[in-house]
Amino acid sequence: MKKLFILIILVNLSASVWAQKNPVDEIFEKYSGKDGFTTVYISPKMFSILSGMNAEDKEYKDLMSRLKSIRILSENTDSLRVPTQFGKELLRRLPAAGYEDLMLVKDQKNEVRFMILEVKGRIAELVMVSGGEGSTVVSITGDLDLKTIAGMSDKTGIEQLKDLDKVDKKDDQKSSVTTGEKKN
Amino acid sequence: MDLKEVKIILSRYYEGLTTEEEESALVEYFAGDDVAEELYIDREWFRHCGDIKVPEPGEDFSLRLSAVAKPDNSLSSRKSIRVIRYSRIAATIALLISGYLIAQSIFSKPAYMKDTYSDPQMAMAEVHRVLAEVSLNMKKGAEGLPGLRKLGEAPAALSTFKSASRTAAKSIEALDLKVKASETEVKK
Repeated sequence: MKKLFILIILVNLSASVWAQKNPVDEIFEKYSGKDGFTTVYISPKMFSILSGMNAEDKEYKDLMSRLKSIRILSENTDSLRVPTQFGKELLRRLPAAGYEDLMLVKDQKNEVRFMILEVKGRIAELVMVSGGEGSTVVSITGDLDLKTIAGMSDKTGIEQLKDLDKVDKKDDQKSSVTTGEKKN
Repeated sequence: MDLKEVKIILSRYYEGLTTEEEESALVEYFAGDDVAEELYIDREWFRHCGDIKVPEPGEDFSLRLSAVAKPDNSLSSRKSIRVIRYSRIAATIALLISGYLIAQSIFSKPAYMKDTYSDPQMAMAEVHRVLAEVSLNMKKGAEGLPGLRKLGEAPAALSTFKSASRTAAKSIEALDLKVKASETEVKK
């Protein structure tokens, strides 16, 4: 009997340890699919496909193979009566989960904060939280090389940006899946 | 009683199968002088055993015995048995629930963790858009760095100025010496 109780306590302890989620995961779980929020998720499987494309560009291939997933959560202030300011909520909780401040970019309208999560000396996650009119959280996971990511704006030329029109059009169709607001 | 017979009864005695008559025969045998050497230990046992008087059980012995051996059917003991039984069942259910929750937390994925784009081209365009946005913001943040670089350049500029001023001082000294020399020549 005693052994059974000890076993239950151990199992429950391990369950509570498992149940402790990353604050970024919690924010996504809390707001995704709700009215006024848009979620985009690109999975590791999709990145494995993307790393096979543009095989001649080594730098691109290397970057894609290093990336694991991208998650975006944005708040549409037009459809929300009271903005949730989940970005501030997230920023308050990230330091306790081991995230460190990387950069704060502030201008008159906007405030963008970068935070990183290091695992065994390597950057495992980059979180970009932008405030202002409606928060947006971008979480990029993988074995990240910040220099390459920072250089992406030079690399993203007109050819790649051509696809953005398609994305916007497709986005409207897809948003019925990802945005709770349009679902209802 | 010959030795062989004694040995048979002895073995029955140690197994608890002997009758009272056989036991008294054994006691009588071992009390005598004609005991085989090999049964020396048994002889000691029977001689001492003969001295021990086992008290006869009283009339109420069987009643007392049954009172002790009677199962406790009191209310409290029945309750405790029931509590133990229910707590065992509860513990097993708790264990099963914990196992289920752990399995669920490991294997189940949240609803949002499904690819937004099924077309890789669209996904790639979105990845580019996100990375470009991140990159642009990072560059904005790094814009303040040239000022810091200038601060880093200041000590180098200062050391260059120092060496230049030293060279100038040396050349002024040299010129001064030359002027003095020419003045002395003029006086001569």
